[in-house]
Amino acid sequence: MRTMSFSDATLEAMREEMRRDPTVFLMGEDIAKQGGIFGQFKGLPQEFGFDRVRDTPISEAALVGAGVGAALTGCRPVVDMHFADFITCAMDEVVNQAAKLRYMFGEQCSVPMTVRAPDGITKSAGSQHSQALESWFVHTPGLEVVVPADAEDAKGLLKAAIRSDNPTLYFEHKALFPQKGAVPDDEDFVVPIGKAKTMRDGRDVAIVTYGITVGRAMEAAGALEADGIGATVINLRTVWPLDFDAIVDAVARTHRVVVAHEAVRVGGVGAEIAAWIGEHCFDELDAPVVRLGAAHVPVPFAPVLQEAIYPKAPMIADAARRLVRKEL
Amino acid sequence: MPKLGLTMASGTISRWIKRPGEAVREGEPLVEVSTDKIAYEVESPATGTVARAAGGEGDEFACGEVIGLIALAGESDAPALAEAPRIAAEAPRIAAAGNGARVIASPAARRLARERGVALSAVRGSGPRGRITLSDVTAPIPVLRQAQDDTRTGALPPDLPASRRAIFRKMTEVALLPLAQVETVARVDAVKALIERRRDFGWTAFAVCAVARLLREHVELRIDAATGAAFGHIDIGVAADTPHGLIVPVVRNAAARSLAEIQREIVRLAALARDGTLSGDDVGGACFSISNVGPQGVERVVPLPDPPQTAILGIGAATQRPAVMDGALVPAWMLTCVVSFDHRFVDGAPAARFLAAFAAACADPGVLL
Amino acid sequence: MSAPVDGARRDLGVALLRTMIRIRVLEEGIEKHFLGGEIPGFAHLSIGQEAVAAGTCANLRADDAIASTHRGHGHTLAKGTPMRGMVAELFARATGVCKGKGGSMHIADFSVGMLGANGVVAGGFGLVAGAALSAVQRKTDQVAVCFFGDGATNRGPFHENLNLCAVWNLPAIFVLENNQYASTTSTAETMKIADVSVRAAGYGMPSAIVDGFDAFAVYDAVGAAVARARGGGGPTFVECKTYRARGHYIGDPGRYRQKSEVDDVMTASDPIVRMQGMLGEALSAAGFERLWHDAREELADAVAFARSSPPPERDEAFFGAYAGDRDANDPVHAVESRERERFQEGDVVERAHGVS
Repeated sequence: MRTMSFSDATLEAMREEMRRDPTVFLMGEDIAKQGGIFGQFKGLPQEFGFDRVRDTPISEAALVGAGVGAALTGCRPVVDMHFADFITCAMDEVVNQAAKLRYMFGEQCSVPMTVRAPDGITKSAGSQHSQALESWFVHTPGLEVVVPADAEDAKGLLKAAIRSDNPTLYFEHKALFPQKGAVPDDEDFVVPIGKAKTMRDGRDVAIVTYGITVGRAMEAAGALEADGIGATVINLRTVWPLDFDAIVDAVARTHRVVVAHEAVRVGGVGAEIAAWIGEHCFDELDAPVVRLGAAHVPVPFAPVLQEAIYPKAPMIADAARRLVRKEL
Repeated sequence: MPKLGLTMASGTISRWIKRPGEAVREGEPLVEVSTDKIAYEVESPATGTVARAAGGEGDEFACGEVIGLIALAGESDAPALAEAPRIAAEAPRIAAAGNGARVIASPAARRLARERGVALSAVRGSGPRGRITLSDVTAPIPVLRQAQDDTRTGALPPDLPASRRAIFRKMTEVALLPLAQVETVARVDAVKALIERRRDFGWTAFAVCAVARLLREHVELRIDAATGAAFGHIDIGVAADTPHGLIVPVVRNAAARSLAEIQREIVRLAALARDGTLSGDDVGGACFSISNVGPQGVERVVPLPDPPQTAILGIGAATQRPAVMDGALVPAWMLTCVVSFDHRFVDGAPAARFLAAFAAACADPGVLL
Repeated sequence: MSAPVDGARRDLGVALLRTMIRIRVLEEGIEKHFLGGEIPGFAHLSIGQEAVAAGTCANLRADDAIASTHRGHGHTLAKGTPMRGMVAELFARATGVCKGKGGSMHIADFSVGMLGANGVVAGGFGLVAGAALSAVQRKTDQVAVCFFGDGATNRGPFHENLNLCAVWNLPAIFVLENNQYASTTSTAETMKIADVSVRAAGYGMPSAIVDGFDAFAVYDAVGAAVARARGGGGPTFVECKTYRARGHYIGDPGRYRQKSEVDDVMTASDPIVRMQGMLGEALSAAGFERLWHDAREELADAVAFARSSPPPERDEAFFGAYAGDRDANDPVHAVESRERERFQEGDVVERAHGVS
């Protein structure tokens, strides 16, 4: 095990996969010469050449469209969106092309493309540079969607996404890039897509979450422990396909669930999880499923406003406490 | 008279804890009532003064009948109360909560109450807006005695002790069943050696452990006479002899528990049984039971299934007996095992297969553990 | 006009004619069977535009890629897709090239480099840019051709991808079938320019304008573009002036243009008649007839095949979105199995998930 930052973990994953498979190449805006705005591509063009690490014009539709075309014809492209918000400029390419070609062409082809999308709320970036849009793509059949929570996830899930033969969206939270964590040494360490990780075990309440909210949930769990409340924290890692077995286990063990994410609560992934728990684990519930997510507003600029609208550790702990105390 | 179980139709007043004239607070124990399964402490539904007891110890009331009146603060026990007649069974005035009023309970609490035969109407909810939650259903209801104090007096031998009435009635039922047995003598040298080496389990725990795991596949030996289909859960009843009489606490989910866990659970249940403090959660709902007369030093017992269970295993003391191996006479540790079963639901061949598998587990415990 | 026809040129001409006649027969057959109720959904015919498909694809290898449009039957056939597989697909049979999951607008045959008809106008530009980029990454001399209509050239991806291919010097060829109408709007109403190829110049890309009714002309122009691309010379834009003889889709009442306009153009410019004229005595009347006869037989066989093929199994609906063995016990295929099971129960969750 070594300790490294989330962004270094993604860099290591890229390097290993590009060494391992010559058909893997990377393209995006401001990645080759600049090395990525978080330094997450530093050194790659020097090792692999500017043909395999390409700066593109500001042309998201072409970037993703060409990624699809290259994936159809024998390559394994990694396409970087710069900010997840700009996926909107390539929605046809993701939703109507990447997600559908295999199915509607009767399985004649596959689209082994990875789309990297730095997302999330940080540093007053404002409403057009702060979104978490993973639920749109969970809602689109044909895609895989992964959301790493720490350095280990960052490396393992990126490798899995690149190796996957399906189009995979990789949402990496901007605020996580500098965060350090332990990463296994094994070069074949891959976090399997579709499998959650139990971060900690507790009998009183389960917090089902993913991405940056995992850290916030762990912080909440620490506070809850001081109150004598044991929280299970489930790091989903993949939001599609969901690890329903892990969710069922957590509900069966605790009977009280908080589902939390930074993305807007309304129509978020938590809504799918909560509804599914209601359908499949009804008789295990001792209280309603509580969902936490950002308010249904665009993300504001002023720090005091930005910080008001999304769930952090105190809100998560409070929800869990109220569930255990039978206030909900 | 509250309805304290799914099948309860009536209950008997065992003992008034608060008597007329005494003050009582909501939630305080008010009266002890019993059914043919269990004795319960009923809590006062209100704060006030006990104005009237409609019956005394030994009196039986249908569920829903008024058994007493509490005068709330400000009310006097005026002549009107004193004249209040004993209300006939067909017109319960005070509705038990199950009489049309909606009980708010969480889905998990409902499920557990259903499985355990606990009436939600008898459970106080501690959740928001009075919602009944899981912990409310599992809260220990002191079970003072089981199968005792059956105070229905019809058709009983006149000098039969009160404590035997319930068993008498049950066994009268059982006598009508077409029961059959299969029997074998199992070699248990290996089990005895394991017990002595590990020192963390006993014969009963071994039997529970082996039986539970075998019942996963031997589905025909865990049929519920109430439905005709197999019990879903593998909970094993363990007959226990206590100063208060026979009681059968249940080891829940025994197939998933290790030998050491089962042993700890048996010890825990035995202690509660001796003290008369088993909770409602610890009895009832078993799919199969075990009777072990080994502790009494006796080699063989032919037990009777405990309805709605349809099979039971009886084992005796493991003793050294002469055995013939390859034509030579050798001493071996042997255990006499009998499976009794209700032939309406279970046939001889499956029972024999089950018993043979049990004997095989005795000869080679490693396979099962 | 084109070169005199003899020898190899004559053989080429006959080959182009054969392809065009096969396309024509197929399209007329599709029209008939669509109106007869045997083809569900939409169908968009390319009658009148056969020379572009034939002339372009005659330059390509099986391992070169093409991307096509909703009006793609001609491109699909010209690239080498069997007619049986095409007709069965349109008839929604399990034996269709896309197993009945794509239909006319999403017909594809990856075994001959046909990366699919795309139901989104301008959907093909990215795919072709990507296929060309892929060839460069894998260091092959494959090329990629994008077919598209005038309407697509007003969409963002047209501009983004032409620019990208030009600046990265990718081996792509952009073949515009300027049939002068998008759906109901003529090019005169939707752009300020008469020749779309001036846009290519805006991206620094060489271009050519050819008579889209002349299969030789198309062949020659695209051939030059292919040679340039294969040789590492980058992309080319070939504008074929052509005309759509039928409505935008089968059933289109065509109120946006005069019937006399249609008749005049087709009388003057039917590409099949043109090629026949160019071949002159190099192809006998009997030879010409035989081409039609063979094409009609091929179509009849394809229709019989389609009619006798079963529809897809209902359960097929739930599979095929994800790569890999559908029986694999991995999470992504568990999703598909679970959806199928759930729909057996009428999409109602009847049992709690195995909690015990």
